Amino acid sequence: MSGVALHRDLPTAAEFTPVLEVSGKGIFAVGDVVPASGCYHLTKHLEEGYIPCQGYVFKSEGAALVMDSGLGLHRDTVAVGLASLLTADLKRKSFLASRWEPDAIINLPMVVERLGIRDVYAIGELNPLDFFTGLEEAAAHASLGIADEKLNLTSIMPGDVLEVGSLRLEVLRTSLRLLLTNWFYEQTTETLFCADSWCLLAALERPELVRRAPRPEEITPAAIERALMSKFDWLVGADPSKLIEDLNRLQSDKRIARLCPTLGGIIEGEEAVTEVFEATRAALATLSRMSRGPVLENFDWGLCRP
Amino acid sequence: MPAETRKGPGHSTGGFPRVLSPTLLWTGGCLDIRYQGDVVHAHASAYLVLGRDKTMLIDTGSPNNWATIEKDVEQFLEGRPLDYVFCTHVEFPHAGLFPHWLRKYPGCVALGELRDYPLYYPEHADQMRNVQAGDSIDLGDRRMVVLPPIWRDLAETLWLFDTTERTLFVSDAFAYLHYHKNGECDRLTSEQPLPDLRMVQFFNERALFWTQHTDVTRTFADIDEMISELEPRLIATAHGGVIDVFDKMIPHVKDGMIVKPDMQGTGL
Repeated sequence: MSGVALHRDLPTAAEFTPVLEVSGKGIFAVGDVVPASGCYHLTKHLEEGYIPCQGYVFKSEGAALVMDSGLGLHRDTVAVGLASLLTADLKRKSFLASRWEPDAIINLPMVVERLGIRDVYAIGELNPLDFFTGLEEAAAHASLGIADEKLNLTSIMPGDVLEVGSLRLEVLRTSLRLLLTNWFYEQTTETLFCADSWCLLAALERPELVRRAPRPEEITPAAIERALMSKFDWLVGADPSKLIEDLNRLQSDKRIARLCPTLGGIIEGEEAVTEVFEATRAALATLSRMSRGPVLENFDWGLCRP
Repeated sequence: MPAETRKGPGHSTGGFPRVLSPTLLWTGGCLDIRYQGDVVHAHASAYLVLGRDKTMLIDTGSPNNWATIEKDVEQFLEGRPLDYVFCTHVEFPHAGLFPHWLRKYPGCVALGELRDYPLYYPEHADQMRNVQAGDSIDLGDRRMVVLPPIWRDLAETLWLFDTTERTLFVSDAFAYLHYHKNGECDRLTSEQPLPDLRMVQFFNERALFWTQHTDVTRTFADIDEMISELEPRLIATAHGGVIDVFDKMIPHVKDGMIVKPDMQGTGL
């Protein structure tokens, strides 16, 4: 049986800071990094440096919302980072799943058990609590003296606005996606949380979470094409008109000061965001003119004979 | 599991598991889906193949069904170990029980396009083996050949074909919803009418979002070629009934992939 073993020693940083302030108004990135040399499927388009993988915390006026929870590989680091923010004085804590994929919610059991979160917001028709066993037990075991162990699931829809203290998180529909996904726009800081889109920035010098303006070569249409192809390869030969229309509408409706993805660094600055949108439109147009590669070309059907 | 169903093909009982042959078990459960004001069900299926020398589970099942799937697999294995777990891709309904099976069977090897799995389940990195289309896994009396997927969501999806029983495992493809109340969960397509076309569309809108923006008919030649070359006896899908009659079902599925209904109000 052929197959390549995947065990590898993944480097860890000795002095890593798992929390990065996104805005002075109480928004933080919490996560860790993976090396670009790891050749992971989702980040294969980035060849150098360390790729941030994060969730986000919104904390204001005694309330906190955790959006996504990082990678399983980073579980302990994320727990430390979240614990430093979700302090005992908070009156309300909740969790928001932007997607049902493991890079977004694999650590949900940890969030429930170690941080005592009971309220979960999620999109769409499925219940993300069905994706884990023992969540109720985890809630019961949490050593936070919470009497009510039941998890409360609230479905959200595009157009809803989640209030976290003075922060306002608007749920957005997006067509730039593969699986069920929502984007979110924080109105007071003009921040767009773009899930698995725009994984463009790596930390180039040392392992760290990143928030910066991109270098020009990081946001060319060609760079964005490569990033899109890592996850959204269905864009090849697709009709981009609806996607471009959605991007145009978003850009005209909202001032966007920064882009906060799940994977990749935070893209800072309104001008940079404008350039990213422009380059993305060009990338979508280019991908639409390409042809889907032959899936079965040269496949040896003789392999399937008894 | 009753002895008489263990030895031969079982009949529909309205629920899981169903013995499809002495060496093929269909297990899993359903996920509740809100559909036009009603609650319907989506299969989240897993399949267990008993080779002469090795056993393989195709997809892990969804975590909300762990208790029943674990029991079904144990009973069908009859004391044998689970040697392989083949993960078609990493979504929770397909791979959510990944750590459970690898903990329960420490000698079990996980197979698939697993490059990213160490990011999610680092504690099981030693049990992971990457495979690609064209590879085959020898179970003793059959080979399980890894195939490129024609219809899929995540790019790292893989399909699988059993060369002896000629079962084609197609993950998210050929999917449709069903109504639980009529006991439809374990029916083969020969045992029920064609699914409501809207139930097919509903699934494609969500699992195969790209059908909304591409000319899906360009993929039909590939699926026709695959079916023609393999001549499967069964098509085992993760999110629909097992397909055992193809002349009406395959065109019906294609129709369900083409129509693009209005998405407003769905939250998508």
